[in-house]
Amino acid sequence: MGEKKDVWQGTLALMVLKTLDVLGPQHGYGIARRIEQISENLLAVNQGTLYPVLIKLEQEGSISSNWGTSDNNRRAKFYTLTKSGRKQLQAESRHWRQTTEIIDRFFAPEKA
Amino acid sequence: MKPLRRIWCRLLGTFRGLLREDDLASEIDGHLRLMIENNERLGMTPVEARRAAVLQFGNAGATEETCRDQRGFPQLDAFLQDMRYAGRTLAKAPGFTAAAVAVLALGIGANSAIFSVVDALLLRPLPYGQPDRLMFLHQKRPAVPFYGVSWLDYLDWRKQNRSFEDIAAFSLGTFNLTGSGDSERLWGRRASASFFPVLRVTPALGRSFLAFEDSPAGPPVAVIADSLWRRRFAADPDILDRTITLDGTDYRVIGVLPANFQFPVVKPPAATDEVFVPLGQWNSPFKQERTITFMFAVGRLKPGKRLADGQTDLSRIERLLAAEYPKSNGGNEAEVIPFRDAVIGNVRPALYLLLGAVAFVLLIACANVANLLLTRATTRRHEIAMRTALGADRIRIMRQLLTESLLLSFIGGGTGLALAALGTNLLYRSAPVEIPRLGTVGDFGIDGRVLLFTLAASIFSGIVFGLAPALQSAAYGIRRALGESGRGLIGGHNWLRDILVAGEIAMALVLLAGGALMIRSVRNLNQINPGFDAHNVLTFQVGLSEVGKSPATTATAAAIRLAWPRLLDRITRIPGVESAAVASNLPMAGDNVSMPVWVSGRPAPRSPHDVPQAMTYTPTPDYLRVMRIPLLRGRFFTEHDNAASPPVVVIDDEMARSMFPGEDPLGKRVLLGGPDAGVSVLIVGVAGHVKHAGLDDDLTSKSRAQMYFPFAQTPDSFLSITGSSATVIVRTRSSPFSLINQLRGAVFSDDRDRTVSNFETMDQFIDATMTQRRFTMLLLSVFAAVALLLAAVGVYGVVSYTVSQRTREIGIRMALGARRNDVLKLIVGRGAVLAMAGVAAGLALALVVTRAMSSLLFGVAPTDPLALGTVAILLMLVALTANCLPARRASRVDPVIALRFE
Repeated sequence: MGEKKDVWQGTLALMVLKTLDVLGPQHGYGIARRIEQISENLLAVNQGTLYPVLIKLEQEGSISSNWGTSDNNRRAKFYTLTKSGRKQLQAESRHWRQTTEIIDRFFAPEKA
Repeated sequence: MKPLRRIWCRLLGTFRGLLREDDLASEIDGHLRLMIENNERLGMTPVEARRAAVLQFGNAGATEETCRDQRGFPQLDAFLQDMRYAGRTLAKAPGFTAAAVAVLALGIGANSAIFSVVDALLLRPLPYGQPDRLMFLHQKRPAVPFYGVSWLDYLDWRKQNRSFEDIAAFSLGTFNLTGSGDSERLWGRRASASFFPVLRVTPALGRSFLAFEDSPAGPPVAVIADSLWRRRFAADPDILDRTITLDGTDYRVIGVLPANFQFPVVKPPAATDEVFVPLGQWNSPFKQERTITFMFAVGRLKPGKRLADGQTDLSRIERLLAAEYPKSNGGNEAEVIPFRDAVIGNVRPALYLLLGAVAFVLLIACANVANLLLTRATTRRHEIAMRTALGADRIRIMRQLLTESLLLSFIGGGTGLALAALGTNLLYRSAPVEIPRLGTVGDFGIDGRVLLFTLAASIFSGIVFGLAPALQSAAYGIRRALGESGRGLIGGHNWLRDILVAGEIAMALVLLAGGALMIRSVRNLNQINPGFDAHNVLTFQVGLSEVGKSPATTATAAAIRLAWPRLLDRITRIPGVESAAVASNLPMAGDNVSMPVWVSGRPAPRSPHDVPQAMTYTPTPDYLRVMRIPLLRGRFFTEHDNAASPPVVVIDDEMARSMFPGEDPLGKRVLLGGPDAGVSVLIVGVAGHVKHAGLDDDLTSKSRAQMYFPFAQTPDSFLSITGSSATVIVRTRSSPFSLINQLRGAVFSDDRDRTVSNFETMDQFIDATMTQRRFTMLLLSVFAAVALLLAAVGVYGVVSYTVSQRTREIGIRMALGARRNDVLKLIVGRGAVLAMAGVAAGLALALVVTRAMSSLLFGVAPTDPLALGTVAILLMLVALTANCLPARRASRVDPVIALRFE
């Protein structure tokens, strides 16, 4: 299984929010890179999925965007986590943790 | 919250899409550059770096597309695009657009106008709390041709019923308002204390009646209408506890009704109720008689009870009453009808008829526009084929074409709405007085509901007329369309168009048939002799100030006996007045007074409802002269038939025929009031029968017998109550309205405190009995004319289209030796077949549909062969004329030009 996995729909939004939470304002490329790095290149972020997610999050008011200059002096659009996005992130990570715990219990080796 | 916000953003996005397009492109471009730079940093050559980045990024165009869809609503985008395109297309064909919009505006506008009336009268709730539980209650008595309930029976209903929350009684009355300014005659009601609570109406100011006020000993109190409050008291907020003088008695004002209050039942159409006084405190001897039914009742069903429960309940009580009081109540039945039905009366069939008629007009309009669209569709085949070739699928094409139709119908609907606004105004002004106007409810005009209806009608028509052409265009093969170099040699037969035109003709025929039947009915009515000469007869109400203070006094009666002859004397001395009389119960005026009558000396019938009733008129001696009712035998009464002389009566020939078959009624005696307690009176004359309720009266009226009883012989007890107000009728030598001022003067010269009101001619009364039919006739004829015009245009359009399609064929035929007549026959023949098919279908349809209007017809069957035949011929002629114009053009085709034509 050397192939990179595509990010599942739905979880990408959470990853974007978390990335912005950790790194602060970031452009699309930066977000994609970060997700790939964190996943140790196990995940490939398809730009065709990333940008629609960014638009959706922005429309929902979880993130906001501004044009700025990147490290190497290029014009880029920077996304920032908003207050309501932070709240959403907290709620969703809690929810995620619960879900994974439950799933873990199902797959945990049975104890005597 | 979030989903909402998102929808908002997307809506905004749809309209800002163009502005932000660059944004997205440069963002994606930036992303790519960053990837390339990163790849270069990893040691790739610039070319490799770019290649790798592009590969990794994938399809940038597709990404942009997805993002764009995210940003707005792709469906909406497509719709707006279609709209813009449709707008451009329509603007490019102004002639077509104008024609289609005009036709649609006519169709939709007529529908909106009629709908606004139907909505106001039939659909919208009445302005009372929970109006669906309000019921109108009355008694049907075997011999009495009209309804009501007696006071004592009402009290029993109220006490013994189990299905009504409460029942209220009311009667209609007129009141002389005197003091504080000019005296005035007001319409009003005597109503029980339960009246306003049953209607769920609370006065805007003060309160309504209390139970103790609604009793014989109650203090005189009155509730007044908003209109009276504003007119007479300048909307004085301190009106409560002030007194007003009604019929000489001081009433304390305890309440002012809300401005929108109306109670449009059991009243002359022109009357507006302005005062309400408690019914229970009225000391009238009439109230003690179970046979006198001058009141009506309105009841509110208990929650969960239905009309049938109320009906069963009242019928049960009626049976008990009949058992207890067989003489007065035997054979009586109670009837419970929804209050709305009582309000709108008999306009329902006419309204439904008109609604059906305008629906037909709209369908014809749609057929016409569909035909126009089909014609255009053939010229647009190329365009559509091109779009198909470029990748538009059938659904997309249909959507585009339907959008165009909808845009067209919206423009048509908008224009139609303006027409409807004009139309309702016209309707309102020309509406028959019988159409009740229900304050806020009855004010028909353009409101939200009419707007919504118009919108729905527009969408409906857009789809109806757009669907067929859209389906057809979308189905037309690309190769066929692109391969065709313009028109083919022989125009294809288009069955759809033929069916549409034949359908138009059929529907137009139905409308024409309806119009023709109404016209015949009205003509038949106009030829009916009412039994009197209505020309130059003016009537008006006079209220004397000599009003019986309860209890009734002989002195009041005596004063009244003197006052009327003196007034008549003054009136007849006015130049231009031929004769004058005082009368109660005029024919055609909506008055109804009848009495049981029995021939003296005959054995009393077994059942009380075998006692016949006779319409009873109580006029002064000159009545027959004023009305020009023929005296057939004996004499009419004179001034010498007065309170002191033996009572006499004049009967009409109907009564003579039905009660004295083969006998001479002169010198016989009848018992007024029935065989038991009746007053014996001598028959001194026989007069001609008069149509009482309308020119079509005798078809429906149960009681046709009529009799005349001298006004002067009215007993004191009645005269002191009823005699203070009466109708004066005057025959004039020329137009009666010019005398109004002098007549007023005559009334006031003896007494300033009298009231004069309601100047109307007998002609107007007769007219009023016909207005509903005439109104229906007028509207139906207008719709039929529109339908005829549209159908003619439809035939013309189809035939000229065929001609233009077949020009080459005709050219060839002529080149091969066909003569002009052959060509003419070819084209006209086709049109004639269409017209005949349409007329045949229309006749079949008319035979079914016109039956629905039989209640509106008079003296003509719904299948009247003359009416149907005439309209069929008319329609054939019009269709053939519409046919001939293009056919003549075809016959003038020059073969040389036609063959080169292309």
